[in-house]
Amino acid sequence: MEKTTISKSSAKAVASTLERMLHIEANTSSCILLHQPKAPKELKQFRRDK
Amino acid sequence: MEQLAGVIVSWLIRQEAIEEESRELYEYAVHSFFLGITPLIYAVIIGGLMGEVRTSIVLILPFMIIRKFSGGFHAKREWVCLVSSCLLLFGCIFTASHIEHNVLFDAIVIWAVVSLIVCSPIDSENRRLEPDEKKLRKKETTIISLFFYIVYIGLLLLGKQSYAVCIGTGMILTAGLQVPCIIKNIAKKCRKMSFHDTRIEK
Repeated sequence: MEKTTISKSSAKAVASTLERMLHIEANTSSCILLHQPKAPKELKQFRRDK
Repeated sequence: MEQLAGVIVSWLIRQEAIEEESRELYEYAVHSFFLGITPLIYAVIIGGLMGEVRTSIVLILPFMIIRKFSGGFHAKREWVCLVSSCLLLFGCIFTASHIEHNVLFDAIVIWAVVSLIVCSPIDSENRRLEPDEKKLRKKETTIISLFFYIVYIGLLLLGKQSYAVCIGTGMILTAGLQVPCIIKNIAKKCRKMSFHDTRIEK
């Protein structure tokens, strides 16, 4: 039971971090490194100025 | 990287932290996260092997921040990206730790700042920017480039020439990685113009 709770809260923390990442990606030009993965269309919903 | 992203996102879906419909979005986020921190990891490892950790970190910071907004050249394949990034970083750290600040270096830094302001943003096939996004990114790139140029001048005035050279090298690297895209765009425009001229002649 405790393991499930820890797992669920870790997953929520990871999801929250990734959401933050999506906000950054939607409001910047590109990836830093020399490879740009294909951006999904849904990324637009994270733009500051929609 | 794609497999790792898939595993992490599947775990998030099983833990009900995200919906199945958002799979592609969050896989992109995982991919971007690892690609985002990789330059810093490379800088620390390569810098550590060369005994130049501070140089590499000071060099990679303006590169990471400016490039995020200015864009530039992107390799089509991930392995090409990883190998060429390592080689480029090694070259830049070696250069930054061995060159002395001089007038020529100042001129190249000024070229880099002007080039970044004029030519940014440069989008890629996989992440096209809309016109209003381009205007915003241009403004942001201008502000950030000028900020780092002021830091560069400030460090020179304070006598910290080695750090100034690192900042300058980071900016030159960012501007330099836009050059292949600029040349490609110019070549495209020339081809379009000559095709248009041929049609008019006919």
